[in-house]
Amino acid sequence: MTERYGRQSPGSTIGDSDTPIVELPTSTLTNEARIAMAVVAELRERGVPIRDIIVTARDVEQYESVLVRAAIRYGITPTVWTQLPLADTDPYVLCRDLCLLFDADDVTIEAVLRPLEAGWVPMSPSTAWPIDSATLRRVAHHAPEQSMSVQEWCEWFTTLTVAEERFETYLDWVVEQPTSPTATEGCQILVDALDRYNDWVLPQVKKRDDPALLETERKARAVVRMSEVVERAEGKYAEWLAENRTEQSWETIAQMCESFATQRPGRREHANATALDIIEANDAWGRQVPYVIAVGLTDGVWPQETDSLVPVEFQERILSGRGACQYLAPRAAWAELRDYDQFADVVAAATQGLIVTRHTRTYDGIEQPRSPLLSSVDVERVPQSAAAGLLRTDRQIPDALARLLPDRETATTTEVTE
Amino acid sequence: MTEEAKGLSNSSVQTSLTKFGHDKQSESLFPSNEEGRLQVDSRLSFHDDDLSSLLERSGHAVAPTELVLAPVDLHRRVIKHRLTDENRPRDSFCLCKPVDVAAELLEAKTGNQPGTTDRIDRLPLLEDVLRQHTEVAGRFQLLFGASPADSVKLVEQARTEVESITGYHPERIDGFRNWCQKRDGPLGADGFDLLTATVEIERQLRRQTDRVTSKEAVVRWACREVLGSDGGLWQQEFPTIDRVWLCGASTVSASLADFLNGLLSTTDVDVHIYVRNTSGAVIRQRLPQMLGIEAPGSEVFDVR
Repeated sequence: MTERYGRQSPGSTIGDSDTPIVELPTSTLTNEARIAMAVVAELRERGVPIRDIIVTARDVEQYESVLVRAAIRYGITPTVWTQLPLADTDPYVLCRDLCLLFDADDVTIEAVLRPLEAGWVPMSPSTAWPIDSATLRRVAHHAPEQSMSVQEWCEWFTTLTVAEERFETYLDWVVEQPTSPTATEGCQILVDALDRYNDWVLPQVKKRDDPALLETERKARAVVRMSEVVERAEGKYAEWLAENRTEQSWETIAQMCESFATQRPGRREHANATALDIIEANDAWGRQVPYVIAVGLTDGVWPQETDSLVPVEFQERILSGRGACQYLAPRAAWAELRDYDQFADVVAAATQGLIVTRHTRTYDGIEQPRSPLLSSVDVERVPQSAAAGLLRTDRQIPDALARLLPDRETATTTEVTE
Repeated sequence: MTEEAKGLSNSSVQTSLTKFGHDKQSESLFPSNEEGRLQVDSRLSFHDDDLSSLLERSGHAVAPTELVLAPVDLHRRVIKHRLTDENRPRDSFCLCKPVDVAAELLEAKTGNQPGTTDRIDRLPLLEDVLRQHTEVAGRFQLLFGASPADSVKLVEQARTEVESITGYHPERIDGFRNWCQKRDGPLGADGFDLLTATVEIERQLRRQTDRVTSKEAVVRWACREVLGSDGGLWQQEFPTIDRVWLCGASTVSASLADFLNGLLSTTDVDVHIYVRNTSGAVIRQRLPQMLGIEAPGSEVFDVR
């Protein structure tokens, strides 16, 4: 006999939470994102602070661009938390090392060259940009070992037998930058560097990349993420300056970038933080948030078949542990175990209400079934036509959803416990 | 609601399975294996409460008594915030990833941090191996139908899956191979090719780099060192730890199971596993079984 899990075990239930769950079906994935953000907007209008709302998907990457676009339409700032190790990427290193270069009095040749290595290019660069690593290594090899000021490095570069215009362009630019940046200046300089990276360096990365385009993908995501980080750092830096908690310094900006780049969601430091968290379902584990909006509850999206290379029959055998398979370790990607785990976490996370959305067809018009996950919880199903009311300019709230939301008239003040 | 599996507690296991609408005879839950070896350690417990069993262990302490392994970054953060929210002191907790604990043990043993390889680092190395070794490239071509150099992502996926399932342990590799060879037709053949190709590519990968080829390999190495020192290495590095907790895992890989096995065999620590909603039933049943393996942490490759 085989063990049955998840959808193969129809009697199974997910958790024992009392939180009401409302299901909002819609036609396409894009509309899902719009509905999700309409609900967020409605919650905000009813006085719910942004930190009391979370949007989640089994695979955030799939929904990222539609969610972000929809959020912006509703005047919501989204922050997408996915598994990108931002601190390891060139866009991050570029920003950080520029800050460090601007901040220091004396620097080694490595500190001078690192932003170039990470992809700094000037405005309207020629095809000679970015400077290739072989050239950078050669220069580093010939340079003196001591630390000098950037001005002194400028002079040293003019002594090189090979006139390298590019280095002159770069160093002239470095010297021009303010030493004690305001929040606006700091942000602008870094964002400009990222934009130029995006426009000039990324296409070259793409050309060189292998067919899988792994590197390009990673760097493109990093640019987007880093731009968000820089904007958040600007906001925080401005706050600190206003409160006299710091002087104007590039080092402070660098530190803030680092903490935002490596930060994980959790309690926000300020009650008036304005960004909406969009998280992977796996990251809902152990969390408690009043309102959770889960998108993608369509069979094939959540749960999603992962292409295991192990034949299904063998998976079942290993799950059961019979005979020679007793010591083999089963994988949670099999039998949709992981998908069910994550949905259970999402259900458990919502303390006031869980809103789930699903799309009923692909963009090509192919029908998409409802997720079996929704059969393991008590759900109030809203008809598709009623759900569509949320997208009207005179937003219409389906009854089931209205019951879950706080009253419109009362401005709820959430207790701020820090 | 806390459930603890103590020995062959049929009723508690029964409860977790009837949640899935399934009634099973107790003997088929724990089928005796070929050699009649089955261990369920009484120092191994499973939990599915809201972390309260773990958090109750908080207290003021000079040194941590609870080693909490939470492989997912965000889960560690969640635990920290729960402690703060509930005004619980963090002193008794040490919160980290399994690979960090393993690396610390190895550093104590060898004097150096073991150099690890991430997926991003492995991909170019795998590409080099595929280019240089046509036989293993050929096996992957049979499996994937495309030139492996174009599908290095798939090769990496294959490698990761087989490593998670077997940890390259000789007995597990045998078990895997036996199943494949007993199956007629393409499934068995595919399984066999998958196994052979991934073991071979791992062998070649180890020649391409001095670094340890994966985080799982670091965990296995630490397991072997703990066993080799009869627990002495653990005592030396983590003398104050009473309990090891695993949180947030849907999968317990072969390597991690072996590491926990090593701790249960050679030290006094209790092992507590927080299980998740659906994978929990699998882990409760299979982990105790997996602890019956001999020489946990061993690999089919020559020792470095």
